[in-house]
Amino acid sequence: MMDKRWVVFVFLVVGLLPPVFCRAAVTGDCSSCHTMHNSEGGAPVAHTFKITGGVDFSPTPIRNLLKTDCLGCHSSAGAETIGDLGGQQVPIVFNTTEPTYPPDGSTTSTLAGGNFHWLLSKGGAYGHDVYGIAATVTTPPASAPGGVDRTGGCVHCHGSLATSQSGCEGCHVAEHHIGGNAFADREQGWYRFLGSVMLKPANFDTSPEGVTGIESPDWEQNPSSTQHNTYQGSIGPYSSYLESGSINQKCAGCHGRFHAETLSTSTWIRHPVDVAIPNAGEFVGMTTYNPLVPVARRNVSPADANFTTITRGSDLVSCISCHRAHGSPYPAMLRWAYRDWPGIDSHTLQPAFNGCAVCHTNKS
Amino acid sequence: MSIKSVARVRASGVLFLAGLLVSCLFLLPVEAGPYLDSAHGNSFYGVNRMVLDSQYANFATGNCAHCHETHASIAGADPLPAGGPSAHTLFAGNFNSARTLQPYLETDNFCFVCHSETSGQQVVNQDYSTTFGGGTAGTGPQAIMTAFNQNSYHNLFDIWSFLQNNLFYPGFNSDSNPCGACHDPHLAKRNWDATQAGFPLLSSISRPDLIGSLWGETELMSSFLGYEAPYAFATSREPAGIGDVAGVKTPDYVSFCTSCHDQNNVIWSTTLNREVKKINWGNTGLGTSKHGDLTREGNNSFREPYATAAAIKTNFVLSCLDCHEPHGAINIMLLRSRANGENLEAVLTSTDTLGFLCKRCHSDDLIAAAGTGAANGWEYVHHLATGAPYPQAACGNCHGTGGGIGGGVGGEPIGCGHCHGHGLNDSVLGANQSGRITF
Repeated sequence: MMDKRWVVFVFLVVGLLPPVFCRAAVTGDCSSCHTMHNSEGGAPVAHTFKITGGVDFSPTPIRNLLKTDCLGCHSSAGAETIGDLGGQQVPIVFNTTEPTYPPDGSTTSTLAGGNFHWLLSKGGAYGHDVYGIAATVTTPPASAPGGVDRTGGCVHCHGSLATSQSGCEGCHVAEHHIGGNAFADREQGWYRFLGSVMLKPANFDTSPEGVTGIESPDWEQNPSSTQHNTYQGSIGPYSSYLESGSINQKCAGCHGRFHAETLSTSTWIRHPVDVAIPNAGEFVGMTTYNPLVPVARRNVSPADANFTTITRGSDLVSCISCHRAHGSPYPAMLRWAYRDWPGIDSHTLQPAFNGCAVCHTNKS
Repeated sequence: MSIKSVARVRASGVLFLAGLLVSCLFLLPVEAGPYLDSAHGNSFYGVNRMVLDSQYANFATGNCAHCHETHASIAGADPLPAGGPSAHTLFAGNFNSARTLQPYLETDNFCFVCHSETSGQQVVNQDYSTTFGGGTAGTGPQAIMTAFNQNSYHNLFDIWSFLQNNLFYPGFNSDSNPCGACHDPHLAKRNWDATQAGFPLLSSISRPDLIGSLWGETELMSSFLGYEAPYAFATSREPAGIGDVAGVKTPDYVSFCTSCHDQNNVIWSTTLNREVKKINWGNTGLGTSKHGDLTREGNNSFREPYATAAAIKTNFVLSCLDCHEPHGAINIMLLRSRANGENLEAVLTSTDTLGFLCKRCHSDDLIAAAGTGAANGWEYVHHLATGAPYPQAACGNCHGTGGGIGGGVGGEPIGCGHCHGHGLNDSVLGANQSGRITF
């Protein structure tokens, strides 16, 4: 018969496990997110976030018995960028009150993907035009900038995310009920739920392709060279939707022409992505990971978490080396005040950071 | 005033000064690096494309985007000048290799979009004769493209052809810009501005075989013991009248230019339809020159400052830019319109009239008050001066119809170019040759 002390010990160990193991996927009371009848005390529970503040309750239920939609959980009228939902931490990607940028580790510090705040406050050049924040588009354009023309239903994601058929789910395939590890592949519902929208099978099954990566426990609220996300890149060529696991392939789904980079002579005609940072020339001055200008890594494994030293000749330049997917205070959702350098950062009113020189070390 | 009031005033003063200091720090970018030090990266006079596309008014002067387009797209449209993505992410084609001869247009060369008098920023760059040689501002070409469209020019197609895929000149290929052979756009400084600290040794040039660095700020003509800086104005020296006699303020243009134009490289000139002359500025091997490191001999009939300096410096080594313009010139062979402190009195259209350049440093008959006594007459130097090479004994052997020298008939002067030029001697005179190196 087992010694009762062993039972106590096991319970203690399990109880003391750090909460990080159940951070990424949603846990807790079902009622934090779901409502069976969209009714409490005779009033509707389902609601959506109002960009002007507050919420709109609606008697119309939301699918999957959810109380609210993406923005309903991942938005805030305040400036805090990590919310609380029934004891579960929730990354906020849309604050109606301006969050802090660049990230400084405060509770209002903008998270890794950026923030849609500036889409609302400054316009379409400052964030991805997602449905619910951007003005709704009834006739989306055939293509996004850098994209090829699409027809039919394809335009709802590939032309604009500001349609009711696209929005957040134009990029994200939510898998809140699985996974939970910081290292995210298919078993975890992919990094930031960036599975293939196109290949998403029936409910309760994950997309077979998606972006691989490692998520910082605080979503880079307080990033540093030793605490940051890890993004997967791949030198390609791409053959399917997201078979490479590269976050850049995700971007290329809509902005693919920006990924057509060279002449026949191999001379760049656009800035490369998914290309190894040379271990030569001015690039040898690039040594330490800078979370404001992140690089992607091939074949990411858990051992790559928080890597500090750039592996030149292998680590890759990425779309998100320069851009924040959700939005930033700068045009083209850039991570730093590209247009303002060399001069004063129009957002921080400090001397503008020269993000280009993080890689192009001679261009300072 | 009470002590408290005085203290308050002093405190206010301190606060004001502190505020002023903070304001100054606030206004001045704290970063500094080679690009910010360059002419293109300067936040006041650096690159700016707003003339071509008004949306670039929102970009800081000196910003990368004024030349580069990372995606050839802003908000889904190709910024002006449109034309799709170009090599090195530039906003226009780097070089039109179909343009094998002048005249050049702005569309032939990316640099000309701004370095012309008709497009873009219309950057004013005057020639060497004006900028460093003491010429009158505004009298020569006012832009680089204009300089290239003069009577003689550094053929850009030939530079492009010579350098691409050449192991000795790494990094240059068919998508490269021939201007980049000598200029690194991310390093080149505004070299002409006398108000800038460091002038006149702010370099705009990079040696073609030493990419990634500037040339001429520490590599100086003073490394040649025989260099004597020419006059710019009156008795002040080049460059720009603030030069130093021994060349400590003159870049080493000899090593720079001979990194291509040496005694070995075969360089085709589409303009001349022949190979350009090989240059041996040393004192051994074929084609050596007295204007280089070869020892002087016989009569030289120097003018100042060389006449006086010759007593100390037993051999002069000239800088290429003492005589040549780098981009183009109104004269043949890119020869300067002003040398050793004086403008040339005529445009040089053939080697027969080279004397108008020679006389800037050597005494013609007018200066010598001898021989023909005429300007650009050279009887004194050739026949009368002490050590002159050719006795006036049998004129017809050279000057007569029997002399067999083109242009030298009926006693007329022999065209300079028969004997004087890089690598030449006077063997054209046959039995009457002196055996001397004549350049």
